Amino acid sequence: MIDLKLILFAMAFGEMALTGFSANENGNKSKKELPNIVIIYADDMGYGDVGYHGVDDILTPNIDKLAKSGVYFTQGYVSASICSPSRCGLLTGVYQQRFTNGQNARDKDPLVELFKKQPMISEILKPLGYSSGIIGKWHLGEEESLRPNNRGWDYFYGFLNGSHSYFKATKKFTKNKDFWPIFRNNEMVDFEGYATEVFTNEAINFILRNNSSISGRPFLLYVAYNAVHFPWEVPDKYIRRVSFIKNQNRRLFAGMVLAMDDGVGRILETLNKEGLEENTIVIFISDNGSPRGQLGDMSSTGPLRGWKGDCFEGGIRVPFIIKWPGQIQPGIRYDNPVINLDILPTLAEFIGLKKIDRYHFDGVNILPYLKGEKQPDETPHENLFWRRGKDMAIRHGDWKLVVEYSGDNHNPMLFNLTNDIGERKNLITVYPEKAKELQTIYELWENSLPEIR
Amino acid sequence: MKLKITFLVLFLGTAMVLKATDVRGKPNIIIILADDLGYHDVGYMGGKDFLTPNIDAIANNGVWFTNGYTTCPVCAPTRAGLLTGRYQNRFGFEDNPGPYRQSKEIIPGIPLREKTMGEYFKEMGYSTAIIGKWHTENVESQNPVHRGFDKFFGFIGGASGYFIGENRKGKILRGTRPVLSEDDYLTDAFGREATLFIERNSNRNNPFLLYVPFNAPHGPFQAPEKYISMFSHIKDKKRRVLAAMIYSLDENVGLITSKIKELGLEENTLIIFISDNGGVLNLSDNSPLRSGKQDIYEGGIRVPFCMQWKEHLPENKKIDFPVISLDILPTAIAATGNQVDREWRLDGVNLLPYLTGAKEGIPHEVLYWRFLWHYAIRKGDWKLLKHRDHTDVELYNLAVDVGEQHDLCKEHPEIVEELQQLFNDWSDMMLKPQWGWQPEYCGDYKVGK
Repeated sequence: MIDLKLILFAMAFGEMALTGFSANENGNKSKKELPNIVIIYADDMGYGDVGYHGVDDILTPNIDKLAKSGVYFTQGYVSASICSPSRCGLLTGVYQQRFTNGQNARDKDPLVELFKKQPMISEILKPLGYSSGIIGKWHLGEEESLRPNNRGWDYFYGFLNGSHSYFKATKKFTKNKDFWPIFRNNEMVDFEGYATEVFTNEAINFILRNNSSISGRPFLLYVAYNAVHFPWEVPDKYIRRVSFIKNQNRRLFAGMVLAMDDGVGRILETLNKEGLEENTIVIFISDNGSPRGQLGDMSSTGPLRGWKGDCFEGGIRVPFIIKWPGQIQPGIRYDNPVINLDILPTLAEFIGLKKIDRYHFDGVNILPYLKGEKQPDETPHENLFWRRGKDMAIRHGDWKLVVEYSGDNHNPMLFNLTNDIGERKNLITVYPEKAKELQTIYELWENSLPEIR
Repeated sequence: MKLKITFLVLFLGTAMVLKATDVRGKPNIIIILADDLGYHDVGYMGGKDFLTPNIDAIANNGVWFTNGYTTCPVCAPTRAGLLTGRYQNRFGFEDNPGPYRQSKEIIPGIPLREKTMGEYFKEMGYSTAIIGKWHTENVESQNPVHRGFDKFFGFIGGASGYFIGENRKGKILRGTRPVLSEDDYLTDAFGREATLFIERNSNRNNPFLLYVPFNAPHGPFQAPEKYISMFSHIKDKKRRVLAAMIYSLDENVGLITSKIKELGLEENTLIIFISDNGGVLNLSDNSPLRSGKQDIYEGGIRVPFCMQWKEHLPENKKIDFPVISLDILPTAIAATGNQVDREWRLDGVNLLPYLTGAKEGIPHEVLYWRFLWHYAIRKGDWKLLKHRDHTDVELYNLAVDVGEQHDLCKEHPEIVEELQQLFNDWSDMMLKPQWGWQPEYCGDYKVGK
């Protein structure tokens, strides 16, 4: 006698097993409707390094086009002014000071055990069926348990450390880390070519292999170019294409930017050709602002003050774009402050991830703001916070309180960013009560962080 | 706009930027490069066969180096290192331009991402010229006028005959255009053009950088009869011609230095003289060094090297600590009063404070060489090398054995290990040769013809 109940149960269970689908995680969307996600994270690219910000000594036609095809942010921030902590924030949606010391070396971080426990986007989206790939610069830990494949990433092609030669990799952990191995998952590979081009090719191949309309599974692709980080090198052909630029250092830099812009163009073209454009969210952000190197005639922070490493705007306000067909109209410019921490919570809400509260995201869902569903005076963040070592900053409305040890003045400075985007006019003696208010709010946040800096 | 200007002024003030503004009174720089001139081919190093009174005078008027090196035992790579102040292996310029490449896209020459001496000096507001042998791939994009030099007279390739006449093959160029003819003996032509350039640029408002890479005494071995007959006492015919070529080289060096003296510019001109690599074996005299051009023993890489700057550098001072051709660029930049920025990642060092005694110590703890199948590393008096024809590395103490006769590997394994590790760390950072003559090293894509 056939037990119908058993058969029905088996069918239901079998269906769930086949689709790898946990009904607990997602109530709304079937896997076919889940959007693909491409996050392109540039390295050390400044506010003044993209054409669409009104810059004429750079060439970024594809990035400019991306900006026009979605929303670009005039006050797009990153949670840290240096590479690794910025990536910690991006990939977790949580202020990285909650689980790191805010500096660059994850392996040497006394809080590394906290970091290992902090859920990462790859791990969070996995139960929903996402295939995940990270191409390029990892910079989130070199020791085995910290490597991408052990942090929920299905595919890794790139390097573990923070800086890399664009032309050469070895198969050993060389004294100069710029020549460390390039990995494909756990294996060191033979490396040939120019890194920005190679990473673009890898990104494209990942998309082709994981085409959601064929596999039935969405993908998460994180393209962490090491462009335009030191060392500053690029083949002649790119420099020739920007020969209109008079300053030799800027020309070299623009050549590096162009190689990445070409790559962005090719990735977008691939999405288009594969019929994935309508169902893929593309995000482009720089990990932090321009480095101090080469005295500003390489990377540019535009009108902003300070550099990579600083809590001034130049270190933390960056090119920031989201293209989201079907959700965000093309050609939008959004002027209220947003931060890289917002990316994961926004995606999570849209996808319908259940029990989002358990992740305690510091970022917020910004989609309603970008769809015009909010009042004009409503902004995603009342406050934004930064801290690295003894440097700090808090943004509260138009006001910003900063302590910055790189300069001469180590005392807190108060700026009104609406009138003074260049942070020139220190108003701390003019508005001492405002400064105190910001200080208090900041201390409340700081008290919620773990002890070790 | 106001914000932008304020910002600009603020950061210019704090910057270590090459100042293009006030160049008046800044010193002229002349760099004279001989081609394949051996360690002992010059009078001041003890050579008796050849006559080099003018080169000797530079040494007598300034400092001369007994342990002066170049970065490669052959021509073009040395020039690439000299012009960039960086080990040329960093950008794959390990071999002379040749038919083999790593890929079709590669064009032999200093990549655009590397800044040349001309480009540094143009940024500083100098007039710049190169007279002589440039030695990259013969394409217009590699012409010196596109690499920071206002004026160019000479040839792009690796070698040239000395009696041009009608320039039918278009070998001798002025800028990017071939000259119609050249009737002077080529070494004389270069001397002539150099002194003309000095005359035209000798006012103090516009200092100049003049780079004169003579091709003398590189082959083919040709010289005017009148000079050859001066050396009839030399039995070996080829060596007699060499003597004549070196005599002409020296005479033209003299034209340059006497022009400087005549114009009253000696106190305001830094003059540097160096050879690009050691002399050809069995022809030049590299004694007491072992071997010569193309080889990794001292005879291939240690060369005549001296410099004068009246009133600024000591006179007739012998310097024994190791220096290298990479030092020329930072030294020249420092001479202009500008600082060498660490961001430029130069491997060369500004020698001036070491030469005047303002700074204690020595400019280089370690020096490195890699040329395809050869490599070497020098630390203090110790030199470890790997020679193509020998299976094992060799270790020499140059203080007691400058002729590299006594291999001390077995006696000092710990030094071998230390130097080998240091060399490996350095070599890890170098690209593989991007072009050249050896497909096993340079890639096997071969340019047609």
